[in-house]
Amino acid sequence: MGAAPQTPAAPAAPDFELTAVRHEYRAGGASLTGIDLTIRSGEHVAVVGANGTGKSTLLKMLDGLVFPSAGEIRAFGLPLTEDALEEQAYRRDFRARVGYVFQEADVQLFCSDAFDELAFGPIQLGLSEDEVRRRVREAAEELHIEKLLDRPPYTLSGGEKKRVAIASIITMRPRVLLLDEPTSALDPRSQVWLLDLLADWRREGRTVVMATHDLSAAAEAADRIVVLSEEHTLVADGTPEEVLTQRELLLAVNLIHEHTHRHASTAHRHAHAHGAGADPLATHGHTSAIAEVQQQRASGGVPAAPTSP
Amino acid sequence: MHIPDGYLGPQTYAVLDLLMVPIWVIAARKVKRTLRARQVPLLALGSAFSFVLMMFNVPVIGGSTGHAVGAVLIAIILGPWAAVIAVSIALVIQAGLFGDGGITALGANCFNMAVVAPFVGYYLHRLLAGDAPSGRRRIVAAGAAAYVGLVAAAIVAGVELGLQPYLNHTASGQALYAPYGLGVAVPAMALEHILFFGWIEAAVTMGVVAALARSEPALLEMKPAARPLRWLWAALAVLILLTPIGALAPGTAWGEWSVPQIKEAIGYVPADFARLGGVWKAAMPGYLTPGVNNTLLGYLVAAIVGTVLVVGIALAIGALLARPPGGRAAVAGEPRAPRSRRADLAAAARPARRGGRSLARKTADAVAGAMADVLRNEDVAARRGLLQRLDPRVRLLTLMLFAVTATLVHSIWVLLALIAVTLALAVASRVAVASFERKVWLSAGLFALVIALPSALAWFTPGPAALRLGPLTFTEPGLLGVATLVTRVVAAAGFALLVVWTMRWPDLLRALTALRMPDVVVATLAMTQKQILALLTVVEQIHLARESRTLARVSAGADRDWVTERMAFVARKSMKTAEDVHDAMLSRGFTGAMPSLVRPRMGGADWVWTLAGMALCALVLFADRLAGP
Repeated sequence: MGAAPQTPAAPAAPDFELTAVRHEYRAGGASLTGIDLTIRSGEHVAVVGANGTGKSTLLKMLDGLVFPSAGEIRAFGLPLTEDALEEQAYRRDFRARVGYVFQEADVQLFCSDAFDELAFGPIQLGLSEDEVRRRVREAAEELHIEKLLDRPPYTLSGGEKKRVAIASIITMRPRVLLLDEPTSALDPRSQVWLLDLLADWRREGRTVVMATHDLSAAAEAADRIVVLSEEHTLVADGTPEEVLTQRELLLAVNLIHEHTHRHASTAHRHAHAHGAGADPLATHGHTSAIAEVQQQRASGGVPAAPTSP
Repeated sequence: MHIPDGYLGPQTYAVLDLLMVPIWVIAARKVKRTLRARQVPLLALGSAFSFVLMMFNVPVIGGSTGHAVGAVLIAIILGPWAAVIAVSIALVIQAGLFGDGGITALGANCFNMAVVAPFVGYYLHRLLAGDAPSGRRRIVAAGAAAYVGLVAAAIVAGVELGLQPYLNHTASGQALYAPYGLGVAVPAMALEHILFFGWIEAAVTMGVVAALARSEPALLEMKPAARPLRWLWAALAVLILLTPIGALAPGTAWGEWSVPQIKEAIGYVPADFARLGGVWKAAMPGYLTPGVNNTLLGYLVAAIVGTVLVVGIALAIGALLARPPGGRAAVAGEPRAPRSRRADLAAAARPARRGGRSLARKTADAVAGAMADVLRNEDVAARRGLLQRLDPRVRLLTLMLFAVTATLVHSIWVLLALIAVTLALAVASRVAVASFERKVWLSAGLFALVIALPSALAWFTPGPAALRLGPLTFTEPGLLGVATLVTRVVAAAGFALLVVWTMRWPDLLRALTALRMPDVVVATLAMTQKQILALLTVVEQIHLARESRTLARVSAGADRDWVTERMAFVARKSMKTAEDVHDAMLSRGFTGAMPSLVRPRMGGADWVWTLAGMALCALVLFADRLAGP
């Protein structure tokens, strides 16, 4: 890239632009192929797909942790490559802008206590001690974990770990948050808390990309859903209404399945989604995933999606 | 093979502690070059795997179980220099977090298990495996390497222990540290591992290598040797040739010095040497042809008998200590480990097995116990006691100073005074005194007593008879030697346990950072401890899942296959997690250093305590010189 500018281009550029991206872990076996995707600033995008379709790989690619075997990724208008990240100024800027919350909090919490965990990112950014402390305090307040700061990670519950993991990203003040299966391992109350947090981020104009197979969470938190097939390609991209009403498609990519119920004396079939967490769709009587979302939107439970991206 | 504090004299442990420093520095450099940025997570997970491996119970014979060290296995996967660091860190955590293995003896333990075993095993494996990337030859080579590596480490440990009576003794022949000479300690350690633990190590290593060769051959890829390994074949051939010559040439090979030679060399004849020669001549005159080194034969027979005794006693103690499930954690005044409900369930549905608890339950309980220990320590360390109020550096250094003092003292009375100091500190630091004393006296003290008691027999330590029990005569210097060892071990274990119980792990890490320990080391230690707990949870769940599906008895062979398969699974999971953690660190802009903002500060009380502690140690040593041994 030679004399590429050190700072990302004007904010008009989309946060991410992927062109014909392919990724292979081993030669021959693709984990993603033919991906064209543009993510604009402030969008909340859910990447849905069954297990093993390449959701996590896509997220890691957006975070500059794995790189395409073919095709190109641009982040904030600049090419995102291994070489580009070798440059200190670019890396610092990119890491500060993009935060990645891992699916397993245990992987992400690698410091000896929560305070060090929250301070890790700001320290790596080279901020002053006062600034680091200020950011830790603010993030702890935002996520209500002030009392957990001197606790080692292994004494925390699953929900507390998730809060600490998210706080440890928030201290870096990222514009873009990448969330891998954010609702998994959370109890219903913590799931509600997480969805509220996502709504806050939407108001603050933060970009969110979440990978999930929890359709109800995707419907509620995202204003755009992209679907990955088991052939590792992008097969749908649209608003939750547009995507979640394509029943045949969702069946084909294994995100829902036909389900037979006995209800009193009559048996009937309906499409059935399996979320990672509490599976609220299944508990709401016999409405389909789609009807459920439409109902919620009609009642104003979910903010209306912006018109086509 | 973990040598606790108090068995090695100061000259021995100091030399080995100092020896380990350059070895660690070289290993860190080598690892930095080969693993680069990934070194912290990879080493941490390697260490965690090494630690967790020691928690797996492997069925042996007759319903008994043992555990492997895994040093050679780690060396095969990560290379010998990375194994030095990984196993060392596992040993540091065992000492610092669980109180296994001593503080002063850390260098010795690291030298034996983290240097001798990995290097011997690694090169033997390369030699025997040749270029075979997988297959039977590779697996057998791994097993042989693990066996030989462990036995080599055991022999070195035997030498370290066996040197003690020559280096430290009183004028009356009373031993001050480990009481058995080379003639007993080396064969005992060697045979114990040749007959028993070496096979476990070999079985585990072969099983894991075989499972990894099937599922993740990339982990076992060998880099081409930098130099041809022919010199290794030559060295091995020379060693094999020398062995029978050494055995036939009396008075020249290692451990076979004649009595006058020893007297000439060290000016003192260890009692067992003089005795044993005569004993065996008298006991088996018909079997000994003139010209054959009957002293050596005597040692061998004594060693075999000794090994059988030691293993038997160890198994018996194990059986006694293994109380019914759920009983062990229920110590008054301590947080109860979350195992009782599970134990009840298990008691109701326990498969009928020889030896009570099933293999899966045994391991799951051990793991649950270890995790409960960590949480309990965390709880005690959070209390506002005397030691907890001190700066963590001061706490760590003064307690270590006390432990070192305990290894320097010769007088039983002064050692008893030091035990009183540990008790006073435990009370002042709000440690549950009953469980503190139980731990130091029962696990550390009783073990020392059982091991050392035979050395008080007139056979080993001549002198005026103090006690006769039938044909057995215990001598006065012999019993004094045993008492010295036991009191020293209890005193040192007390100070070590105070470190473990009053230091929160983050405090310990910050103390190490403040003491200028390299960032990489502290970061790796921190991550290792965390990953150990994560892996332990996995291990516990694996075993409970197995227990819940086990209805009938399975053969020991099938059990062994299952255990090694699971170990391979944990190895794969460890390496995968290492990659993920590295990604998570990169994602947050990791630049290579992990500084902490919380810096300990020395207050007035810290200075007072430091000076008082140093003065007390000086006083103790002065009193000891006055009291005489």
